Parts: sequence; C-alpha cells; structure tokens
Amino acid sequence: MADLQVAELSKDLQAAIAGLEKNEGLQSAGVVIRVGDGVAWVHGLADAGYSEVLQIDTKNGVVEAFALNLMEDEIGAVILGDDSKVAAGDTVRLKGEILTVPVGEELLGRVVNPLGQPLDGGPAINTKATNPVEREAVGVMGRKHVHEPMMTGIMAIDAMFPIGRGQRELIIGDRQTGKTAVAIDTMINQARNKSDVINIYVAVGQKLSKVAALVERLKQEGVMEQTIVVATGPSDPASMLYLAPYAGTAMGEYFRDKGGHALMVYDDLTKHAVAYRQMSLLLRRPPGREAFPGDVFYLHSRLLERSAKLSDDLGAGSLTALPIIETQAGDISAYIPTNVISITDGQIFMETDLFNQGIRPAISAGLSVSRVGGDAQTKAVKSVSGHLKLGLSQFRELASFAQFGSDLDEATKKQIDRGQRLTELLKQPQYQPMSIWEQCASIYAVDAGAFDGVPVNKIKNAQMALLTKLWTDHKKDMQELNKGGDKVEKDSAVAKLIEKTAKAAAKGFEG
Amino acid sequence: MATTLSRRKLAGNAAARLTSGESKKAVLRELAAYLLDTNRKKEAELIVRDIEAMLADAGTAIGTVISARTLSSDALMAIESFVKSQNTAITNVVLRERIDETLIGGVKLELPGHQLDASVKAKLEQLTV
Repeated sequence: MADLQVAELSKDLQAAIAGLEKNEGLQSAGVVIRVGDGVAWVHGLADAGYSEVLQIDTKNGVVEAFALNLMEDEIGAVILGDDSKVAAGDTVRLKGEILTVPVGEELLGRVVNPLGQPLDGGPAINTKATNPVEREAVGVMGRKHVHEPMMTGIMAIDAMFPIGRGQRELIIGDRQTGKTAVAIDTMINQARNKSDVINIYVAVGQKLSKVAALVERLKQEGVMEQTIVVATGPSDPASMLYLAPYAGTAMGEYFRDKGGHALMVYDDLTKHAVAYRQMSLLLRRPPGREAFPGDVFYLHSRLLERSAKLSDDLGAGSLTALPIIETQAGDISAYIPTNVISITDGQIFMETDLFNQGIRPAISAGLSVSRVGGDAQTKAVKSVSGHLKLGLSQFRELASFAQFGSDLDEATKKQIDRGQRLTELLKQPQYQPMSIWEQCASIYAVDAGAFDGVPVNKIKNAQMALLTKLWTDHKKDMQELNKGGDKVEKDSAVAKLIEKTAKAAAKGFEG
Repeated sequence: MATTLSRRKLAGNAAARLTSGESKKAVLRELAAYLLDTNRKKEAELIVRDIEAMLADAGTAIGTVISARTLSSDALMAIESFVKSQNTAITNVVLRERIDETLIGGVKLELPGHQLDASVKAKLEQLTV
C-alpha cells in the first residue's frame, strides 16, 4: 500500500513538473485598474473572450474572475470570491478557458457551491469530468417531444397539470404559499417511486438555515443519495448567485447526456434576476424596465432552454426544470414573472388566499396550466382526471356567486357539492406524495359519487379508509394499477372494485 | 457634443506618429495637453501601456526583465531573441532590467500586454501535487 502511494505521488509530481515545463510561452497579461463591489476593471487582455476566466495575482494568492464586459479600453470582470483581496495594480492573466464545474456521480449526496466545491464539510470532491457552466442548448433535431411522466406525487398537479420529463414547469406565487414544498415533494416522490431521476436543487440566495433544514429533511426521506444541492446564500457575492443555476444545469446535463434523467429545481429565479441586475448595474450596463438590464430575458431563456428531452440518437435522456418565481401581491404581470411564464411550458400558480383557507397545496386551477404534459400523463390518471380541472375551475367561480344567493338550481348545487368534495380531496400534506394508484382510486371514488354522502370535512378520512382497504384487500390489483398503463374505464373490473370499496368505506363517515 | 476619444485611439495615434519618425517630445507634449484639457491625466499611465503595446505590434518591444541577480549579456541576448521568436513582427527589443531577490532564481519578463514568469518563486507557487 505504502509503495503504491509513493508510486502515485511520484507520478503526480512528474506530471506536475511536466505541466510546468510545457507552460513556457508568453502569456497575455493585464492589470487591475479599479476594483469594488465584486467587479474588477482590467486594462489590457485585448484577446480575452466573453465569459473567459481571468486569474488575478494578488498578494494573498490567485483570485479568479470572469470577463463580462469587453470594451474598447477595459474589461469588466466579475470576481468569483473575496474582492477585498484584489487591489488596483494586480496582474491579471487569461486562464484560457471558460468557467467549468465538476460533474459526475461523485457529486450525488453532496452540498456544493456553484464552483463545485463542497459546503457540507465532507471530503474534497474529485470528479473525472467537468462541464462548461455556459453551454448552448440542444438544437431542434436533437430533441424529442415530451412523453414520459415526471410524477410529482401531488395529486392536484399529476391529475390536472401533468409534467413530463424534459418539460419546464414554472412554480409561481407569493412568498409563503408553498412553492418550495411542491418542488421538494416532487424530489421526494422520485425516491419513493425509485425512479432513476437525479434531483438537483439550486438554492439562489436562500437563507442557509433553510437550505440546511432542507438537506436534513432530504436525508431523512432517503432522497439525498440521488440529489445534488447547489447552494448560495444571501451573503454570497452576486456572481455566485448568478452562476448557481448555470452550474447546477451543467451538473444535470451530465446525467441527461448519458441517457439518464435529471430534475432541476431553481429556487428561485427572482433572486437570480436580482443578482444579475446588481452585477449589470455595477458593470455600468444601461438599466431598463424595473432597472433590469436589457438581456434579462436571455438570462433565463438560455438557462431554461437547456432543459430538454433528447432524441433517441442522443441517448433519450431528459432534463426537467422546475423554476420558481416569487411574485409580489400575486402580480404575475410583473417583468420577471411574465418573462419566465413565456419561456416555460406551463406554470403552477400558488394562491395566498387558498393557502390561508387551508387548501394546501394552494394551487390555482384557473391560472395554472401545463402546455406539453398531456402526452406525458399516465393513462390511468388521465382516464380519471379528464374533467377535473374544468369542474374545479367552474366550482370556484360558482362558489363565489353562490355567496350572494341561496336559490340555486339543482345542477348548480350538485356542481358546488362535487367541487367542495374535490377541493377537500386534493388537499395533501407536505412530504406525503401519492402514488399513481392512490391518485386514481381517490379521484375515481369522488367522481363516481361514492363520497357524495360523506360530509366535506370527513372526505380525507373516507379517502384514507378507502386507500387502506384497497391496499389491504386488493394489493395485487393496486400494484397493477400503479403501473399506470391501463385506463380506469367505467365498466372495468378495477373501476367497479374502487367504487364498491369506496361506497363501503364511505358508510362509516356518512352523516 | 464632443465625443471622448478612447485610450486605444489616443495611443494608436501617438504610436503611429512615433513610428513615422515624429519627434517624441512633440508627440508626448500634444498628448499631455489633450489629457489635461479633457481632465484625463489619471489615464496617462494606461495610455503609455497602450502605446507600448502598439509599438510592439509595429516592431519595437519595450519590456522589463526582473531577475534575482544581475543578468549576463549572453542571458539578455537570449531573452531578446526569445522575445523576437514569440512575435515575428518584433524587430527591435528594448529591455529594462530590475533586480528582485524574492524571485529566488530565473527571470520574469514583462512586455506590453504579455508576461513570462519563469522565476523559481512562480514555479514553487504553481507546483501543486
């Protein structure tokens, strides 16, 4: 063992010496002329490229930066790290490469910063591969339509706004409406279902205490083994917040390009846009609407376009994105929300009012949409949830009307009654994603009217009774249903079984 | 409204006049007057760097050799020919010498827009296993 170590050491030393000996040419060099607020202005380096890494030789070692403003007389470079180490007059060299991050399986279960350095106190991460942080998205011919389901385990989403692998589905809403919870439940569901999906959670400027609690929860749920957390806190430089989503995507692309599947959660892109605005203003770029720079749309479009379902020729891998946007007072017509809504393939809109009424997840049936997920929905769920969204939207409209009058026709009363039951049914506690059979059985039971006699406040109890009974007495049928490949048709054996069991379960709760 | 001339344009003009044989004193006096007039005297050093870079492109490289000990004339000749070999446009090399004992050994060569750090100090810093 000792011999082997000495031999390896000697080999590494020889390689290092060889590397130094090769490095014997003239290097482009510039000089820092001004520095401040995380931005260094560099004179010289006329051959620097956009986004190229610069190495600043400071008294305290080398500090890296990347060139963002290439102007006639100087370069504006954003410093990656502590800008207090950099002083005017420091020599700047070109590294000769654009920014890359380590990628690979070695990162699974780890919490890293946007440069791929560990933040979890664990050992150093030695990956075999690196990927550029900025990379062009796959072209048209390299893509395939979204057709495989990405089950979130949240009944309201899987039934009404199904998400497919390779889709970009925005989660949008005010603060404290459960946006992150939806994303976390989706990650947990991947572990519960033993899906081969790798989760990459990108925290952009999130409180580190929140990230720590999240990591702890993911460990408890057994999700961390298939998860990478890229974390940046509010005290990190804006450059790190800016880089985080791109670095996370580079890590996800590694799995996608290998034919695997990855799920990106960007929490959240509002803070990302704010960090970019800060950088742009410090780089003296002209401000536009809400003081964001003109290319803030491109900032997010080039990021989210990298999420894709690849063609069979490219290995059929996928990268699904769940970007999160925080709105102010439910205003989805603000600059960043409208941008990201137009980039993504649909949005899950979380409503404060619903959240406060105890309807959680507080998903708005009227404002949410999934534009490409229909093809990806499992047949079983699709067959039971066909008119769920319309029914629920109509109910919420009717319910607000019904407050003003008591004389309602029978059909309207029935619709309101069914809507109340559906609303109750779609309530789901956090960290409890539901499998396909549970979703199908629950929705079918309400839709078939089996719970019509159950008071609304006991619907969840009746649902639990139904699910317990089905799993206890008909496990094989439910396991078959869980595959999701067969429709639950009205006269099919499984439909009759659910209806019969539901009616029996409902009896114990009828008022 | 008068547009501000970029440093690169100012340096380009000065370098072109110097290479065409105009009096150095006259060119620099005009440049100094312009910088004072436009309140840009702080940029003088940067403009000098730009002029040096442009002169190098035009064939005259003005550089600094930093070493731990005084270099022999043979060593200086070797450095001159090295500089010429790196850029074929350079026909004339003007080297300023400086001693910096912290380099331990080897040389550090600073040219307009380029550098070569072949000092022992730099190699020790780079040597990471």
